[in-house]
Amino acid sequence: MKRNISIIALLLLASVSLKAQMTTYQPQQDLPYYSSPEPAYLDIRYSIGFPIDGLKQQINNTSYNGWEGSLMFPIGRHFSLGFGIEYQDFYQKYPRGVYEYGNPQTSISAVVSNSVQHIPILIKSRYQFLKPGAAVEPYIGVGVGLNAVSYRQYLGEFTNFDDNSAKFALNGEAGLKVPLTRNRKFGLDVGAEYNYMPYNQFGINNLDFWAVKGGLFIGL
Amino acid sequence: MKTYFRLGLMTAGLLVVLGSCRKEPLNNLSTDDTRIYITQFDSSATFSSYSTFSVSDSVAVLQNGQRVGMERTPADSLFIQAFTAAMQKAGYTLVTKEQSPNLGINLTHIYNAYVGVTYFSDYGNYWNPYYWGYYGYGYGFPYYYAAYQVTVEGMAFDMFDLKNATANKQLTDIWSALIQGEGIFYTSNIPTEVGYLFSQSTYLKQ
Repeated sequence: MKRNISIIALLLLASVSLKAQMTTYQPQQDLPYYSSPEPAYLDIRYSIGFPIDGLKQQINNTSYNGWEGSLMFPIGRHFSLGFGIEYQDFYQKYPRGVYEYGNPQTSISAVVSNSVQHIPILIKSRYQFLKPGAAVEPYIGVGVGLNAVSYRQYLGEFTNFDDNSAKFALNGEAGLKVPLTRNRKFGLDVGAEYNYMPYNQFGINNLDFWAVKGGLFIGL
Repeated sequence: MKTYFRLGLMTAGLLVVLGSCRKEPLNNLSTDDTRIYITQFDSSATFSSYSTFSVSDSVAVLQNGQRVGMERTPADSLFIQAFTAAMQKAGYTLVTKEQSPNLGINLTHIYNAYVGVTYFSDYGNYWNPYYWGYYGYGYGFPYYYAAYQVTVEGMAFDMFDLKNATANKQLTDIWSALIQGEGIFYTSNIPTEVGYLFSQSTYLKQ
């Protein structure tokens, strides 16, 4: 009997000890959480583009055809680093007009259509102002990389020029992440972005635009 | 890491697919929008110094830079008629070519030409200067005249200075025009097309 009691006591002691170990181990499991407050996340956003400066001289229309995808990796509590690819399509058709063509002696009457597609491929970084866990997470960011740009101009149905080239791209953004789930792995991401897109062809210095974006982030 | 790489590739692929949904400019043009009208003139010419003109009675057909014949289709007749009316409206008098016109106008129907052909190359090969009574002379084009790249069907017009041909020892092209695009030979479009040529050549008046 005494032996049985001893075994039971030993088992109880062991279970208490194990529980104590589990309790003390819990913070150790949380350590990675503090060193990397948020998981890597995929950002997919719809974008509306507004031409400015050099681009606006060619195309005045707002672009409703734009998308962006980014993969971001948190570094510490405030910074994240990643890469992204964006797409924005600008187009405008001008009513028939008469233009000088090559020299003052030559005129052309045509409907002019301008079409510009930006595909910037960027290395991106973001700084998040508040600590992870806030109801909303405001951030600012910067992206640098290459812009695969396509610029075509048509006179009537005829191509006047068709240029596809890779140019430098730089953008700055400010936005807000709004987690929608308790584990904060899914939510809304809205923001505005300025895109500096130097061009230097056909007498056009840049194809800059700014954009407002909205979409989802998905924690991985 | 492999998962991230795959996700990155999937995202890029998705964006490429979305990107292919770009607005195609050529799908957003009416038949009238597709057409272009090019005119050019010799800046040394004084158009008010000419008073009479004559238009060739048929149209040269140019295929891939080679003259393949002369034609006078109903559309050609309408082009000649519309051009004649526009010249008269501009103050010039129509005469026959035997009445020594100051200006001679040639029409050329260009089609199925390949990219890179220049409209003015070997012009004399398909329009004989003797048609205007100047045997042995060649056609002359001011140095700044553009060489049109013709890739589809088009109608070209050339106005030659016959008044000063003897002094110049050549038939100088003092005004030329080209119409290209969809439906240019539809008879209902022809008066409007010729109207565009004259409305952008306001200097063309007696």
